[in-house]
Amino acid sequence: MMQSRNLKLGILVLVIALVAALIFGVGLGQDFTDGYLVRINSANAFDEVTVNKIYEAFGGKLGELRIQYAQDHYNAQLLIHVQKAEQADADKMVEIALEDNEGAYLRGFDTVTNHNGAAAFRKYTFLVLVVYLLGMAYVWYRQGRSGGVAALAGSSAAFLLVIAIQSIAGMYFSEATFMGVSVLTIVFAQMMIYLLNDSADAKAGLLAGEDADTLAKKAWIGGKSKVIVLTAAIAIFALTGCVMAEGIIRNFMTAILMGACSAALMTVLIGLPTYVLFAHKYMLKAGAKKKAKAIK
Amino acid sequence: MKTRSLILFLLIAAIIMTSAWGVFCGVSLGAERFAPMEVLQGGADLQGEASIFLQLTPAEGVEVTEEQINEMTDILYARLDNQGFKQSSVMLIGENEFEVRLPVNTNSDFQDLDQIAEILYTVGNVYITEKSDKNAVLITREMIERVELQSNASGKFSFFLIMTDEGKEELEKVTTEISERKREDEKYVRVYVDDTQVSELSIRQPSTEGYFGFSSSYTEYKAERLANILNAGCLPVALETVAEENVSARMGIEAWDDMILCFGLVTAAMMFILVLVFRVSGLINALTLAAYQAALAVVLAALGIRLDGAGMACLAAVFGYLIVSLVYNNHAFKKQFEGGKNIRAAYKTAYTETTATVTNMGMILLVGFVALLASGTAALESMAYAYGVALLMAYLCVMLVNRMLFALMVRVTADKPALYFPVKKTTEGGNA
Repeated sequence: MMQSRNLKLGILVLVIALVAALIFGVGLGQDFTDGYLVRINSANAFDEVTVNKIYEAFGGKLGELRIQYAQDHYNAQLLIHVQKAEQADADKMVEIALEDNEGAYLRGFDTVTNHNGAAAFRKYTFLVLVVYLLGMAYVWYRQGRSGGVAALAGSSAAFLLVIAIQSIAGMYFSEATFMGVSVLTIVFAQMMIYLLNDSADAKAGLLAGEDADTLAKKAWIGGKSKVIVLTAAIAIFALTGCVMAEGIIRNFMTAILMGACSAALMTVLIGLPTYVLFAHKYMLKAGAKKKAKAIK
Repeated sequence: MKTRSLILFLLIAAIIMTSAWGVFCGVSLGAERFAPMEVLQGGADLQGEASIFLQLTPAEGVEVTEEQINEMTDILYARLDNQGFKQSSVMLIGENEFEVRLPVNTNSDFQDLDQIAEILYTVGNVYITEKSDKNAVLITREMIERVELQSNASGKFSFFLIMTDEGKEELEKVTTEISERKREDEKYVRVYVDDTQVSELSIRQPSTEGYFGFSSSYTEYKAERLANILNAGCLPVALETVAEENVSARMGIEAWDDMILCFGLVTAAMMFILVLVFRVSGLINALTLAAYQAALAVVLAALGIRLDGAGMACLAAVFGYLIVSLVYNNHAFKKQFEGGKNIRAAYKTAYTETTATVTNMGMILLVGFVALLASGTAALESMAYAYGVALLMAYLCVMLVNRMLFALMVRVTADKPALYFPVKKTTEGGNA
């Protein structure tokens, strides 16, 4: 059966992604962890060249690297947040800054203790779960047990896949990439699963004796344009961002793209097969039970 | 009838496009300027923030403990929350410095960092002493549970120090003793906050109710600020401002402009694709998209909702919902028309048929909004509001604007199906 194959393929993709993610490790960003702050001051403003040079020299080496320009009454400042660093790294950063800014000097190299970071991550994870469970419950309420199980399987697979892909890509989870992208992925997957299930018209199909593959085909014919449009709208948005922007904003847009694609992929490979297989098995069983009861 | 509908359609289309142009480009109306995009507030990750560095200044030879640091972090968060800076973060830099990050940037209503710094470094030690001797403390900070404010008819604010159980007993004892003193000038006490006298009053009778009230000449803002500081708690170690800085966006200096440009480009691209694929229906959808983006920008700017990266991701999700709803309507319309119905009947049946699905998809998104809002997580409040407002706007645009424009257009073009899709009459009498 085609749908069983799709489901197995979906699970395989997910397992491979999760194993790879475990190997690469999930990178929590500075919104959730402690780190280091390097402050480089100068009487003259810092330009983009300096910042790009620091990104080039240290990007990917010191955990999440975030550079911000700051300005107080007298001085320009570069605030360089990293997750791991030593005094030598800070000195090297100052050397780089001195190449384009003569007055640059090290204002401070300190540890950063983010007291609320871990608690915030736990709270956000809990909230993502609540969003996911409520969405699933609504699909269950509208489309019955088969719809609910499909939403449960499809959206959790999409969520896990997007987390795994981001980890494999070496991206760090910030508030925006964790909360925003997770919510987007989950609601997208649930919307797509709802639309495809709606197009399958499982009850009528089962009464007409259709098998799971026929139901899935009908669902795909009726719902594919919407799934494609939904994915394409966000893909265009995210791709525009990836092309135009640089640095962290590009990572964020890439994460959104990954979210939309994961949602579409897992809807097709896990959500829809789960729905039709589950509907085929349990709706027919329930029908047979009813029939037997009526005969009795 | 046809002409009237056409005029009305063109009028609404003109209003939508003019409003969208006004919203995105800004319009000067005499001395006033209507430019929602210019006042739209971005979060710290997209539009920048402010940092206040505060140094711990313990008494000489005194070590600051980890418990004190944790207590101070909580107090600073509470003060920021009370003042409405809910998306702030407090981090310990090294061992003796706090960095307080505030969602304050060029578009913020309130930008005075000195005032915020003052709220943060005020120790909040309120106590009552004898008038004659500042060091003769009668009621200490530990005996005061909280502070309440009350304003009188003339706009003056009175403070009420609500005592703990221990404080209540002490207050009764102290006020009884003072009120019984013979000399009038010995009946006076003073209220201090961090060594600054805020009030002086005489005690005429014992206070048995468990609170101590005194009037002030403070303005509403100043009184509320002081009450907030005191209610958040007393800092165990004094703080001193080291620096106040304006800091660029966490996602990069161009993050906000890039994000707005992306939304603009994707909206334009989707409008173009919709017109290309769905002809007149696509034009109506494109107008709906323009109306949605304009209305959303106005509402977000009017409500002062801060858009951060997570909020933008939610807006992208709602944008996807809007597009898919519009396409879903068009498909249903085409299906009905291919089933043999005329344009008007096909439109009516299609919209009735799709209402449930569009609403259900909206509900799937809505539960997410409810969960975020109900969580009470201050940092996610603006994300939740942006999400909710966008969802409401999208639903209204699909259900009202799109429907209204469609209704007017089918009246005008009821006999011209070719304006909607390629048409060929089938032998069975249907349309193909």
